[in-house]
Amino acid sequence: MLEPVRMVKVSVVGPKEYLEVTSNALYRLSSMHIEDYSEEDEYFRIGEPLEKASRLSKFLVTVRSLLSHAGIKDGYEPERTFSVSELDRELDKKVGELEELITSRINRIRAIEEGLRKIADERRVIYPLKALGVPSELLAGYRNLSVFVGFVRANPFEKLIEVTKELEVFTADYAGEMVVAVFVRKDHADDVLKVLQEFAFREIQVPEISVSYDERLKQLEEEERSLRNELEKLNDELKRYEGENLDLLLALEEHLSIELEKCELPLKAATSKYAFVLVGYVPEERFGEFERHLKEVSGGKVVALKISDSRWDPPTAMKNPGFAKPFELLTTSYAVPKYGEVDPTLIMAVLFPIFFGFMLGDIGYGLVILGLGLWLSTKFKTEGWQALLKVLKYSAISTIVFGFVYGEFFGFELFGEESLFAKFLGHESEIARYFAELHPVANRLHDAPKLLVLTIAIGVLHMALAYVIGIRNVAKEHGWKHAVEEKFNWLMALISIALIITGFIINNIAGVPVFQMNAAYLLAMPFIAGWAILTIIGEGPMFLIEYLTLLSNTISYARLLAVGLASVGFAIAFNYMAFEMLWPSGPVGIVVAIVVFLIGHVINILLGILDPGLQSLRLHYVEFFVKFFEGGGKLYSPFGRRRKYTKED
Amino acid sequence: MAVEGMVAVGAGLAVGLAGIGAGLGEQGIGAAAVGAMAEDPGFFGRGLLMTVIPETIVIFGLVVAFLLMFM
Repeated sequence: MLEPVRMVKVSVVGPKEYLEVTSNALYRLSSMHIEDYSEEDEYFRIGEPLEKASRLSKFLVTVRSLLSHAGIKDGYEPERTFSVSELDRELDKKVGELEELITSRINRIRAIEEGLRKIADERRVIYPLKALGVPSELLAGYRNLSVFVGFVRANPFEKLIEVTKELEVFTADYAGEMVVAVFVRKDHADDVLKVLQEFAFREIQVPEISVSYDERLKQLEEEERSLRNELEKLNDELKRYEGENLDLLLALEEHLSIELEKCELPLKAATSKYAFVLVGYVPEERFGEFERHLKEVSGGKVVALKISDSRWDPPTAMKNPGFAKPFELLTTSYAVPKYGEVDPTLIMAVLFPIFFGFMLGDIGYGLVILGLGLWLSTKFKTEGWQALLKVLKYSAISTIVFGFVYGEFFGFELFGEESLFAKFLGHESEIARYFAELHPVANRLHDAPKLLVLTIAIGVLHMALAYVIGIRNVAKEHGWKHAVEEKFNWLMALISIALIITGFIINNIAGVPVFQMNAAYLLAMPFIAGWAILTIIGEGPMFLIEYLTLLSNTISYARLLAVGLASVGFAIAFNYMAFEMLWPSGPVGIVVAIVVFLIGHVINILLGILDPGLQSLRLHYVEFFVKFFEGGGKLYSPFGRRRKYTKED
Repeated sequence: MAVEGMVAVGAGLAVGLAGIGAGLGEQGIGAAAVGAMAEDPGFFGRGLLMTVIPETIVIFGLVVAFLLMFM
């Protein structure tokens, strides 16, 4: 929690013949983040992939091309998993068989699609020729005549007879253009073509057909119908085959990629003539198991050693309890924490939903969003979506809780004299009277000034926490002196700001001029002085300007209230329009009122997910993270992966 | 005009003008951030962060409006 998993740097050394055994063992352990070996020298070179790699990659290409045709949906759940030994045994046979079954059909489908394209092309040509009314056998095959058939912009006859009088021109209108056929003696052909080109002539390739246009069209139609039937049949068959074999294909794909990865392990190793060396990081708590397992499988020939290296740059493996896991997505989309840094995911997992709920705070909206989250999480199964939807669900629950605090339900007041029940059941009803006696903890509209102060207080505490973590980070990396000069000074500045705001509020309540001296202002002085001295020593006088940034950061937390008020404002406006203005005006008004109510609240809920989400994220990213979080680590990705479609024996 | 009226106009101006200011600030940053994200989706976090930074201006306006209306 709060800190990444502790790593040790290890090197795995053994004779070259044991590389394959080692590769299998490392894959099964799935705990070593291997660093690529890159500096070749006299003795050590980058290893070469194992022999079977090329055969495997050929199979893999086939399987992937079959899979790409099958088009699998995201989050597909396999019905059965295959064992590795079973796949190994049948690999050659199965891949060959599937290839034949599926590839032959895919090829036939391509041919049919080509045929359909040809038919469409021919049809595109025949229709204008049919409009022209000259049979196709008359349009070609003369010894002394040239025939030009095509589209032109306008009738070229007048211009053509200027070239020669010995010609014959047929024209017809087709689809907004003019089709023309010009018959002319061969010796005038070039001149005629020039004239035609002035009319933007586009030639039509006259097809060789022996029957009339109508008959040919009928033939084409029949041909198309039979091709389409065949295509449909093939596609059905293909779908059935792929459906029946989908799990197998997926298992094969997974198995082959895993085997290929194992074969390519030598590419990360330094190898000499007889030995290999792998360097990487293993979580400290798993090192014992790691060492033992390698010794076992190799009969003591392969050894794993902890090493202390000057190039100590371990990957970050975030370690968070289950409920906070989805929030790692939010942390890493800002940056991956460095190995030595505090991982803020857990803090964010607690505070993000609270901030979200604080802003939105409506029982009705919370329920809708919770329902939406639950529904969507059955639809989108990928890891990223699931994480995001979990964040949404936590936020929705927090929204419901804050809804009770504020006593709001779709913008209506739930408790008090003006409660929802009083509005619709009348003030006399039992339930209305019961709810009228209850009061919300805080009514956002009436208690806005108090809540404003509360948000600022939340902000001060939130940022103070950030500075405390910052002090710890800097102390760990550069020592306590730097921590005091660079982070503790800002904590003092923050306290002074809190005191100044307190003084401001005290004066305001007391009704005296704002800047009249009081105890809080006085108390702030030593903190400001301490901050100024430490800052000038540690970071230079220019940093004094940053005091204002800190002030703006503090006020920035007012958005916790502001965003919520905007949302309530919308809701109240829609409710007013629907139930006060439209509802009383008769049956049509009631229908319109319902429409307005629904549309208004749908928009408001969508905004209510987006805006509090973004704002809560912003408060963490901008106001919180910046004060301690540097990031720039690399994520721990051990050699090996989880199997989904296959299982080891 | 009554004092309350002037106060309301002032509050409106505070939020409205601050909003315009924030919008002007965000337009350039937003465009650049989206451009950077198209090149490298990993920029999302920091792009979002940069884009929302000017938004504090609106909050200032809002706080001023609050002080005017409630205090």
